[in-house]
Amino acid sequence: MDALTPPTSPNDVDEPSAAGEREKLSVYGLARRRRERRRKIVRGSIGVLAVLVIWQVMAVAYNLQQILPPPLAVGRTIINTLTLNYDHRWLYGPNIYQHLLSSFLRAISGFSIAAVFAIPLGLIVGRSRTVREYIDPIIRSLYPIPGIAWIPLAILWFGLGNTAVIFVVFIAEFFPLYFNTEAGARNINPILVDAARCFGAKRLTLVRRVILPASIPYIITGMRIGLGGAWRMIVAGEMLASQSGIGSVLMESRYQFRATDLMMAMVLISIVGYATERLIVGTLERKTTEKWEVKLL
Amino acid sequence: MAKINRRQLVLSASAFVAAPQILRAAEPDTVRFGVLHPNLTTVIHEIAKRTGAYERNNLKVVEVRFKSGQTVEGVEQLWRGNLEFYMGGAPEVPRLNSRMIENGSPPPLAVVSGANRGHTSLVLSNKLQPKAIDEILGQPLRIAVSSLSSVHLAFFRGYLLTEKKLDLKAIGWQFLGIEASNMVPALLTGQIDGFLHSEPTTTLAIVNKAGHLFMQAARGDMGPNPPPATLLSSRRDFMKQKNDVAKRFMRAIFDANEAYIKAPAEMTPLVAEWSGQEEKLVADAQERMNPTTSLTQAQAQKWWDFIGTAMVERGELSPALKPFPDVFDLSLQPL
Repeated sequence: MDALTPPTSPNDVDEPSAAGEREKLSVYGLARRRRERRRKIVRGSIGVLAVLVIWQVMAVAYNLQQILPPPLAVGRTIINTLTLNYDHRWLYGPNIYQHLLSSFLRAISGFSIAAVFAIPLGLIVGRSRTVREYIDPIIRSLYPIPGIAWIPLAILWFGLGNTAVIFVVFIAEFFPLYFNTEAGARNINPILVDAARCFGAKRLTLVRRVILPASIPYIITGMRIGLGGAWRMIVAGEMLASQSGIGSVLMESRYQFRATDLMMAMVLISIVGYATERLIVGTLERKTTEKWEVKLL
Repeated sequence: MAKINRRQLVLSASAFVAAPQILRAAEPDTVRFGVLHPNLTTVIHEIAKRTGAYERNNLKVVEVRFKSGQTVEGVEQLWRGNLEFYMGGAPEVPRLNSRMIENGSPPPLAVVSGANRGHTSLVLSNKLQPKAIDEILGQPLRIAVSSLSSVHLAFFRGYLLTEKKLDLKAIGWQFLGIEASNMVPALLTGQIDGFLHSEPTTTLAIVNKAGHLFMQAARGDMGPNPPPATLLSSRRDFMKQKNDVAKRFMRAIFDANEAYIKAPAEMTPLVAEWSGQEEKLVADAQERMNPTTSLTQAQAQKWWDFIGTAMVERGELSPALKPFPDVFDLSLQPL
């Protein structure tokens, strides 16, 4: 039966879950989802618009430009900065694209290194009690140390520049990735593992075909949390240990008492952080769900 | 029972009304003073405190400490009305006033005095031993500054512009923003080729053999009569509303100046305690520092010509900003 054809008789439906899936994909289901999405967008936009209007009115009425620049001024600064058509002299070194690129590369490097270490370790610790008993106390004792506390040590170890910031991002991303992966690997339904073993699955096949796919929803959640944390740490790291990147623009605009530039940097961090999350985690999410047909959390 | 006559009644009533006001007048006025701490440049406050200068001027000074290198926070607090005076790095006050003028508001702060004239040193790695600055201006050196908005960088920029007719972009140096405490380790480990900063970082580098003092503004290496590197600022609304209190505060600072000038060597332990440095190091550093705080019209103008104009040139300050009256107000000083 065509997936988009609505069910005509109860016989078309094999079992309740399949019926739900089909209903979701049916024309009516799609139309309903489209309506819901539209409603969500409209309501969300109204909320955002209301906040922007209140913010604009407050900033202008109470003459708060110096501490709370109005959104129109921030928007204008963002456009001018992105078009390199500055409304005042650009005091922050290279143009904004170079700063954003530096930050992006640091975030991706820290994120990749953290993923390379945290995901396999999480899977091993989640599946092996012996390893867990050795490793867990170390990880749990390091976890409460905030990422920002590693900055002075990172500067001491790696000097000022990229490596120190990447290290701090790595630290910030490692823990959410590790804990989520470990939780995913530990919570796999034992029936799935036993069934795979009954079918003759050996260790590597078991990991590839059962453990990894079953842990994917957790890993994706860990990545989502980790990437958000990465941007927070990038900014903190660049404010203290770097001459480039959006964090250094933010810090320097504060020294210049240019609140509009400061908010422009904050908005750009939010946009780029969101876009990075959509691009990387979103792509991974799509690829893994397509490959292993897993449901995300 | 004794009879109370009309005169006694009037006198008693007047005394009853006036007594609380007389008592209040005797109470010291509170002044919130923001200072960089631990720091050598703000030691005049500690001298005023220890020598009783504030008490003699009937002031109760509430000290608000800011970490070295965080002048921007101090100036923000002064502007937001949480301080009456602030002493620290220099360029932030004109910067803030400039932003206000750009927004169509009057400048809220004023520089009322200054200290540490020519307190800028260029320390180079021992590997670099040039005879004159022209030999290294074209080299790709990594020079540390506390921030890209540092007063020492502004000062050096002013020196290049006025003495060498050069812009910072025309030289091959890369300026790296590093916290002062990291400058000496960075120089020792070869991460930087030098730094532009003041005391005690300069003395620390020399004592630890991390580098050598190549130029120092105070000895005239960056032009004659160098301007102050530390400024004392206040809020204009406070200066207007409590002019008498503001003047008494400046009087106390001048009393502390006299105490320092009289016996600088005796002040070494006090300076060491305030700055968190060893006495021996402070004694060495004292050769290159002068924490006494006063500013003449000519010195203020020099500051503007040297540092202010370079900041206007760079786009940090609005061209509409004038040194007098938008930045400086020297009327509080008992000169």
